[in-house]
Amino acid sequence: MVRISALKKTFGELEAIRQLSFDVADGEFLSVLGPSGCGKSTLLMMIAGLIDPSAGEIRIKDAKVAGPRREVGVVFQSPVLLPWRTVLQNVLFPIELLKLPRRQYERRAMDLLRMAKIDEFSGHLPRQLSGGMRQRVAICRALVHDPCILLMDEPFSALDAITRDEMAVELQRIWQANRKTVIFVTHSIREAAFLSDRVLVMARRPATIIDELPIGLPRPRSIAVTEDEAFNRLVRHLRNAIEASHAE
Amino acid sequence: MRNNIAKRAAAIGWPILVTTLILLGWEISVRALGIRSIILPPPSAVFAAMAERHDLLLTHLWPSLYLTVLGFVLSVVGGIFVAVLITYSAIVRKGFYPVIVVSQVVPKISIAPLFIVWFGTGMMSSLLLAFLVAFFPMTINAAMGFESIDEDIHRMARTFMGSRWQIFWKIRMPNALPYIFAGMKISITLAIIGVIVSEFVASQEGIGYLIKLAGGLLDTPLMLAAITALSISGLALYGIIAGVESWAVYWQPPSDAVGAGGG
Repeated sequence: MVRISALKKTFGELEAIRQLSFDVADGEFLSVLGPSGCGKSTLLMMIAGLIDPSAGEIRIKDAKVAGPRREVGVVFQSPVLLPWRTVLQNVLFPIELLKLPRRQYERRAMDLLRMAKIDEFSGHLPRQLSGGMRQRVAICRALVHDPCILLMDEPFSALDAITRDEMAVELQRIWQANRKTVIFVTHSIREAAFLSDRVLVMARRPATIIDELPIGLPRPRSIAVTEDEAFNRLVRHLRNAIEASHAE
Repeated sequence: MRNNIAKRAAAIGWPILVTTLILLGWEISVRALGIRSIILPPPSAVFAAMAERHDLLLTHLWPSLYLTVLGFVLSVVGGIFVAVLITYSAIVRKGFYPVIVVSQVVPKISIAPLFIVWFGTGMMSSLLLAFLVAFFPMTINAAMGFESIDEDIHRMARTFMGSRWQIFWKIRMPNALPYIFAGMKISITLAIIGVIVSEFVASQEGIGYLIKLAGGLLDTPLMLAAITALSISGLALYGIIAGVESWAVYWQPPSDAVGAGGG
């Protein structure tokens, strides 16, 4: 689905990403785990087609990425909702930009909102919602045009710990219902282990992959899974990998 | 709900009470101290002058208001247009914008006599001066509004393949609306000043002319009546803009004011 080969990004003298290669399978939930400022957001923005790579290439469904693409939906760190639009109008914003038939997608938007359990707020303005609800709207917006790939850039980092756990469970549910390919960037080890099929661990600048860990925990996973020994073994493994990269 | 109504009543009630007390104090002290009407007439005499000579006041008020509104509308249209150029053209932003900003050190009112030389003593001078003083805050506020969009919102729109045109109409324009209204509220008061000053300098009609004429005739009650009528008109124009604003910028709680001054 997504193939990244020999990807490199430099900003002037600064080498942000060095020789990155990995594949993402169709329908896979992949997390890219790394410390803040390790270039993982840059990687995501390149996959989204917002930044050009310095060398190497990204292919989505075998087509080279040279700019934003319809098959991709992005969820950012902050919800970036338009304050003058209602929840439903915000979710339909991509439909307007892509000039798709609004009528047809209005139902899909409502279905998504129902799935995210915020359909009763469809007529509310963003300022009337809590932080967690706003991010749910942003997820619905990223999914509304039915992209096959969902890119998420630390989407829960601005939320409090309890809301974060809730959102992780919700996201899993939404993902299981839609089966998109997800690339989820995070600095939370727990979040990565809880959500993913596979976790890539990235080292700090220049970013390279230093570890890869499949997460075989059965789905659907409830938050109780995070207390299991199997889960904690995975978390420990990931933490050791990150700490080893710091020691170097 | 009830609490809300009480709050609003208090918000209106207190200023009215204070105004009434000031007018009452003015009336009483003028009478008690025996101040002559030429120096300072009591409020009752001002209101009497307004009622008696409302025909004269209205005759002079209309042309002034007409020119104010026209100058204001031109400044809004022109200001938004220039703001769009500032946003999208590097040449305008880097070359003209700093010049426009620096040119503001010239007190525009002082240009009034020059306008009279160029455009005569008629309506054209008043209109142009109103436009000139109202134009700058409009431009700077609108430009600020167009440019103050969040980088993430811009990115988000780009991932959904939004065109420049779509980004302007669907993001920049609504984002700029609160700033544009802030600019309008400044511009309307400045447009009034522009017209009045121009009428002071040279004019045969208008409320500014009437104020000057009444001053020359030592008809202080008429002068204060004209000033009062002008103030009420200015307040009404401001109120109309504020009313349209609260309807158009419905997503913003009223306390979140934005914008910059100027003039």
